[in-house]
Amino acid sequence: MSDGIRQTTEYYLAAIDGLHRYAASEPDDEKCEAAEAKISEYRLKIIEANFDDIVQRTDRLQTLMQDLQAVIANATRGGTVAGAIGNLTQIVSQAASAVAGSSAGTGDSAAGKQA
Amino acid sequence: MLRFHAHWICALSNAEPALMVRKAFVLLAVSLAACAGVPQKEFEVYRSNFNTAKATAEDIILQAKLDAEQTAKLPANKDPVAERDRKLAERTAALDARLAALNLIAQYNAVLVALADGDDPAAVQSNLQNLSKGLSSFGSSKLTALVANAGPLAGMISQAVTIVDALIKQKKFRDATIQAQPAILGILHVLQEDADRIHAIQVQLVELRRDSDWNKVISLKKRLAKMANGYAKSSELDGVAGQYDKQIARIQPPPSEPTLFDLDYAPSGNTKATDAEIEVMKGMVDEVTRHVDSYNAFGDEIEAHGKAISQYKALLDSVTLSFNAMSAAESSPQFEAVTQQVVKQGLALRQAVLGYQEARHK
Repeated sequence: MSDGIRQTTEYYLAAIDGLHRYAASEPDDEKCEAAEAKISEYRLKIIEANFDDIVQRTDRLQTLMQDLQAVIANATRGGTVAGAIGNLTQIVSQAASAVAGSSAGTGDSAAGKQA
Repeated sequence: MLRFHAHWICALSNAEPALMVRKAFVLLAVSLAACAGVPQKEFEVYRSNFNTAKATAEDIILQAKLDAEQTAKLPANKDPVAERDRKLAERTAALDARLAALNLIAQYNAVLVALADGDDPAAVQSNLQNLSKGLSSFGSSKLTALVANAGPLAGMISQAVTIVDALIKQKKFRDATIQAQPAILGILHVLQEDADRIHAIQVQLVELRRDSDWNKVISLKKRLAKMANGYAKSSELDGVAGQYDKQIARIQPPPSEPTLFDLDYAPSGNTKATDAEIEVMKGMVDEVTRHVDSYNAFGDEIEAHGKAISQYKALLDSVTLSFNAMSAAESSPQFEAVTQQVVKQGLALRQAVLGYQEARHK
């Protein structure tokens, strides 16, 4: 628990405890109701402070998520040897088509360029 | 990669292609043996821990979203409607970001699974055959001879390609693990910090409902004291006061000030209470009993939520430990201990969550 939240919570919980004691011995119903309303208000303050703490961490979380997305992109980028063979097969196939379409005797030089 | 493969082809074009490939294969095999390999066991433990933690984290975060909605509607909330809506939208977005972060880690784990799985050797073989076929149709006498020489070695080349693939994937796996470490550990740390906040919110929302029982008991105490003290002392009246004290003694946890609920029983009237008046006072004690039961049930709910959050945090710790173990890729006795600890924590968390759900439905 961060110091800020701890202090806020302790402050309000002490105030709530005091109001509980006050209301337990206060004979005036209206004053008791006012104390009860104050207790609810303080509890809401604690809830709000804790939600604020979660919200203020969200920017850091989103930065971390972007970092992780970059790692995922890196890990999935590029192929393996098997993938490279597939690519090479495609290139060879295209070259073979080109050779078949050209005159005889030029195949070796075309092959040299492709290789 | 193409350049790498071309280098192989050049090697094959030498006078002794078979020898060259054999040498390359041996070198690769030695390299593979020298590598630690993908730490499958550690990875599986990490993934299993994460999946358990993710399911629980989602439950807890979804509950927190409901808490945010409830907070916006609380009677004690005096903010204007527009301000309540703004805060609710902000809190919902923050909690949705947590859910998205969990899904992103799951996505990252799926990438690791793909990297940890080796290529199917049959697929590599098929690619290689296609390559040979492609080269044969090239019409080049030099390359045709090369393919002819390479033909008998196809199986060996296929194995070598598989090994190189495995090495590349291992490197990618290792890189992905090392590079993701700050982000993964950072996200897990944010979830850890959130856990305490979510618990504090849940506690106060339950306390708001529990205050209602507290206030009712205080109010009943005052009414009962006022009525009882107006009559003369009697055994029946003593019996009512005794029943009240018994019920107050059941309050858990006991109030910080022990005398807070004391009846201050001091009957000072001149007339004894009639049977009907005693019955009215007994009715008040019955009402006290109901509110004490309800008050204690809310206490159980808070305690159960605390246990579930505590176990959840321990499980997040275990995910962190198992991720670190995977990064270090050390199959050590310490790792075995972490694994056993995780299994225990997973079971404890399940029990804690069930306990919390049971307490909520009381």
